[in-house]
Order: sequence, then structure tokens, then C-alpha cells
Amino acid sequence: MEFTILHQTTYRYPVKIHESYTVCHLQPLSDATQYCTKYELQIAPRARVFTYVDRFGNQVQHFGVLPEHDLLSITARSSIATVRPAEPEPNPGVTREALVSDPAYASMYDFLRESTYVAFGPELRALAAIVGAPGGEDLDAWFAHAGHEVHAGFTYDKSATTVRTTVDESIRLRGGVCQDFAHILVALCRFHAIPARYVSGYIFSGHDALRNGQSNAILGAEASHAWCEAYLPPYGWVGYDPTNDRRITDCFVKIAVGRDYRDVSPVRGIYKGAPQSGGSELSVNVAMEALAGQ
Amino acid sequence: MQPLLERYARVDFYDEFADGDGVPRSHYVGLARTLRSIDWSDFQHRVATVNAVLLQRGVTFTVYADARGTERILPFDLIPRIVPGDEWSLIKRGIAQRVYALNAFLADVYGKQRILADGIVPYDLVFSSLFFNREMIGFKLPHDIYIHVSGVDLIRGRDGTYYVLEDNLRTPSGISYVLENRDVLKRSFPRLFEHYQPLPVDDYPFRLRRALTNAAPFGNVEPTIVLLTPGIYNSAYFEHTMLARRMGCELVEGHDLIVRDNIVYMKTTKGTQRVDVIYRRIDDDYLDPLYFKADSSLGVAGLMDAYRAGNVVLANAVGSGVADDKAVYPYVPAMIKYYLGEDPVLPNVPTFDCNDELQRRHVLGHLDELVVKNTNQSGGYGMLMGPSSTRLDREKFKLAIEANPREFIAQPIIPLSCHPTIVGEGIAPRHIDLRPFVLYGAEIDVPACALTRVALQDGSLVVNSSQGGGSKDTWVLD
Repeated sequence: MEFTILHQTTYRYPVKIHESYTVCHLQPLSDATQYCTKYELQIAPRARVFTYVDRFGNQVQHFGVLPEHDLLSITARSSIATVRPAEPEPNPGVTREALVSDPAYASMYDFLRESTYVAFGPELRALAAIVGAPGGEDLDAWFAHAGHEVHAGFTYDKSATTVRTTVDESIRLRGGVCQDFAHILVALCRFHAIPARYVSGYIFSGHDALRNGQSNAILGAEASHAWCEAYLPPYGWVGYDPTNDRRITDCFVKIAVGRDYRDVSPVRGIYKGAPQSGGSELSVNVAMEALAGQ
Repeated sequence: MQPLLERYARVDFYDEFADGDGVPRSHYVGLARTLRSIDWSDFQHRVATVNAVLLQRGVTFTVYADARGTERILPFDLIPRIVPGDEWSLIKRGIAQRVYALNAFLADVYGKQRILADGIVPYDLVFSSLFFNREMIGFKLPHDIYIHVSGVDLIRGRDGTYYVLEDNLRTPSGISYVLENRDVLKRSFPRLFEHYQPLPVDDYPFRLRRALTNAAPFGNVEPTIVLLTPGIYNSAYFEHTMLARRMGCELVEGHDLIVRDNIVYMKTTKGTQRVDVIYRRIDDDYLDPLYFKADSSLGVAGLMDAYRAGNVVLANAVGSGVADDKAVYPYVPAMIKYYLGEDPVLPNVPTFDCNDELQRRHVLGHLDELVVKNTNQSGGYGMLMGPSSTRLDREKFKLAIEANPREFIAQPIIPLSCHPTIVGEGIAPRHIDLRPFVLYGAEIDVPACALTRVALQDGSLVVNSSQGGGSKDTWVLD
């Protein structure tokens, strides 16, 4: 499918700040399953934008605004074509033996250990016991099963968690948003020694809206999404979305991958002139549109 | 009028000064003559003068974890340590070889990771290091140089063999003592100095500047160099001011620098000036609040971005600490073999890796004979000296090792060599080590500047300044 995405982030500060430095993960990845045909980033106040590729292969933009300002607005516009199947099949035959003998497995340290938001706390251990350990024969089936369990055991609740919620906290709350669901599934995989990483991206749910006779553009931040990928040779990184209990289809757009949210947060930064956490007002607006004829 | 040296009694260690029969080694004959010819009261007078000079000059260091960081002068011992030319050339070869290999290791672990893929060094060891800086993965540094300034700690075993005890690749300090000690000693013993004519040390700032100039991005022959200090509360602040002054470069703190469009500038009274090389004496974690500790006000926001873009050189490179992690140390001989195809010139001290179950069991069974070191601490902190430890100390370490085996290594106690040292009642042998400094700009340069640290307490093997150590002037002969 082909999409255009508008992702607008605006910070308003109660007092003038200066020397703000911002790092963004907003540019969709180009890989074998999707291709980003157009991407532009607009900053207000004007700033020169620099790009680099980080160690996960993500395209990262950064910029600094040195003069005083009380508003910072970041607008990303992208066009993407996805070529995944609309109804993905399972990936049979991934054995534990194939995983540990895979040449890349030894270098998966970061995707097998705890990270900032992915800790093996008592709640996670308890959940892991309920979900059950993967057998040695079909790791992909276990992955989908674990994703399903996370979906079934937790309620989608925007008020339950914040961007800093850890895995154990969201398990205790029995709810959260896509970020929390993704972190839990990542943690379950790693706990059972299956390399797993966090994916930040978008999901297009406009089909449902179309059916209901609405516009096919989803307004608000709903299109921003997160899910989990497990390393399952010979298939490589395989995704599962625990929030919607499904495999990754052509309605998903990947932006960035990392150990957890911290590595891929869409916009983060620091500034001078006011406390870092004090009183700034953040608004995020994401509009995702499918190109006509689909 | 008591002859000073009569008070000196040899003990069962390698004695730098005298051979097995108590006869001064050939390179110490001149010093022995001098020591015999002066009397104790005159000597004490000189000691008092020297200490007054050092205090007045502000050659102090701060002791952390002590009653709120008190300033002390580093006790200076007036009797110089003499390193003959043949030993020095061995040392030079040995530490240069080591720094080449360690630098290659850094370029590798932050690049293709060949040594990990080939199974020479375990992935887990590197990735679990507190000092492995993931932001550095994929960086391409000018000249591929990471370790511009290092200090390699050497000790001598019972038979006089030099061993490498530790590589200090982050922000090794101590060079200010070398420079000050020489200044003072030259005046205290002008004739002895004249007799020995040791290689000069006062060209160190020039050589450091030359190395930093060579480290600048390609084609920049007149780079602007600054020394970035955490400020006056740092234990080595005296050294920072001294080096900046003698190198003729600006001493700056984080708030003196600003990053604009990926380029680092220094704020001056005449506006901003572009900075090309930063000799930073700030730890990685505090360098850039955008990428590391967000609440750090010591660093410069955006510095890592300018660094990644190749617009500024940091000396030493961010992430160099993974190569001097104490748990990586046992692999250095293998690195030398792997990258250089050579045998190590200077041996390692045998080391037990507590992360290995078999070795850990051995360590736990022999805590009273070994020295145990925490891999995340330095400066003599977080260490257990087995033979002098209490049962309670050992119990604490046992629990700590079992809880976090990756964080500990253990080594047999090497009886450090001894050197005549002034003690209250005269001159007595005290244990010493040697820290030569290595500069790596375009080529490796080993100035004849080495710090000799001395454990002033009788029987102590801990020479760290924070643990009651002192220092000696070190005379390197041609």
C-alpha cells in the first residue's frame, strides 16, 4: 500500500527558552518490506537539519535552535510504499537450535538483555510463567502465542501509563498503550532468550473508518504505533503487534528499531532557560492517508 | 651526624637500589654517594622546604569519599627513582606496542567487531562493560585514533621483571606531579642532577600539544585546541590549569562552549571561535547531556553530533574505557597477537576472571591470598587486599562477587619492588610502581616522563594517591 503521513509535534513553553537541541526518529525506514519515497522535516523557528544513520540503521535527524523561543514545531511529511502481504503467514520451523547456531545470535547481546524500559521484574517473571516457555521446535508459534496473551490479558487504556512506564508497572496496571504492550512482549521474548527489539511506527486503520463512511484520514496521534520484532532465523526479524493481536501487514509503517522506546523516541531534546520538565505544553498530530485506488 | 644510608635495611623484594649483597646497583652509585654525604638535619630541612614550595604552588589533589573531599598535597619523596636507559627502551617498546593494540581493539569493537566475531574476546564481556559506549558504534574517527593520551601502570616482580598492572586510557592524571617534582628536585640536588643528566620532562606539554595538533581533522595544520575541565572541584584541577597554561591553550568548562550547526565554538570576549580539538578531562557520561546524563551541566549539548560529523576531535575518544576495563585486561596479550602478530613485550599480571565459574570458585577459596578489584572503580577504591583484610571484609567481597561476578577480577599479590624512601626515622624501603605516559597523535610518542608512586606506609602495596601514596621524581637515563 502507499501512504502519506504528516507527523506534527509542537512544544509551547510558558517562558522563553534558548539553546534547544532536538533529536528526531521520524523518517520511515527503507528495507525489503517498505520504501520511503519522500521525506521532509520542517522546523519552526528555522533550523538547519542534520541526518545520520544510527547503529540500528535508523535515519536520525537533529538540529539546534540557539536564539530565544517559546514555541518549537517539528513537521515531518513522508510518503511510503509497503510491500508486505495483507495476510501474513506464520513462519514455521524456527527451532531453538537454529536460533542459537545462527551466526548473528552471538552479537544479539543488546536484544537479549534488560534495557531501560524492559526489565525482568517480579511481575514480568510471573507473566512469563503464565504465558509459558517456548518449546524448542516452533519459536514463531510461541511468539504469536505470547503476543496474543499480552493482547488478551491487558486493556488498552490511554490514561493508565506515561511514556516512562516500565514493563512491571504496566503489567501491574493490567493496561496501557501500544508502547507498553510492545515493551511487555519484548521483555517476554528476551526473558526466554529470544532476541527481541522494539519498533516504532504507524498503523493505518482507515479501512474501518472508510467502512463507517468517514474520511480515510485518521486524525490525532492514533496512527502512531509500536510493536515488537523477534529474531527468528532463517526469516530474520519477524514482527508481531500485541496491541491488535496480529502479524505485521502492509498497513504498518516502520520508522525505527531499538532496544526499547528510549532508543527510538520520535522527538527528544534538551534546552536552557527553564526546568526541563516544567510546564511545557506538547501537542502531537499525526495524519495518515492511503493513496487513492486501494 | 648520622650517615643516612646506614638506616636502610633491605627486605625480601626486588630492590631497585641495591643488589642481593646490598651493593648499590651501578645506576644508583652516584645517588648512594650523595645520600652518604649529607646529614639528617640538613636533609630534613630540605624536605620541609620542598613541602612548603609544593603547597604554595597548589600541587594538591582531592580525596573523594573522605571527609567532604579535603585538599592535600601529594606527599613528595625527595629521593629520586632512577630508570637506566636499557630498561627504559624496553618499557617504551612494551607500552607503545600495548597502546597500538588497544587502539586497534577500540577501532574494531566500535567498527566491524572482528575480534568478537572471531571469538578472541567474548561479545558479552564487551557489551556488559560499563564503559562500552554504544553511541560510538559506527563512528569513523580521524586517523582512527582513540587513545591520544594514556598512562600505563607498571610494577616489578621479585626478579625485577616489569609487568603491566593496568592501562589507563580514560583521563589518566599525574603528569603535573612529574613536572613539579622535577622542578623541585632539580633545585634540591643540583649537583646530583648535573651528574645524572636525566632526560628532560618539561617538554611534555609541547609534545602533548604536538600530538593533539596531529590528531586534528585532516588538513587542519593549525587547529584550535582547548582543555575541557569539569571545574575547580575536580581532583585534578591543578593539573588542568597547568597543562593548559604550558600548552598555550584555553582552559574551558562546558558552558564556555556551544554547538552551532554541528560545529563547536568557544565563547570569547571577541565573539565565538571555532574549536577543532578538545583535550577533555571529563568522563564520557558528562560530555553531552543530549546523549548521556541529561542533568549534567559539565558538558556541551550537541557535542556528540559535532563529533560524529567529524567536525571536532575529542581526546581521548568517547568509549575508550572499554579497553581498560579491568575484566578486559586479561585479553590484552591476545589482542597484541591478534592485531599486531607479535608477542607482548611486557607481560600481564596473571588475572582471574570472576565471571568464569571455575576461576570464581578458586578466587572465593583464596580471598585471603589475592587482591580483588572492582572493574567499575579505580584509584584504589573498591579493592580487597587479601592478606591484610579482615574476615568481615572478605565476607563482604564474597557476597558482592557472587551477586555480580562480572564486576570483579582477582590477581595474586605481586610484591612490588622497593626503593629507598624517606620515612620519619630515616630512609627505608617502600613499594613503588611506575606510570609512563604515552601520546598518540600521528605516531606513538613516549616522552621520558613517568610518575613513580610510592606506598608510604610500611609494608603497604597500595600506591594510589587517594590511598596514602606519595610520589617520586623519576630520572630516565639516556
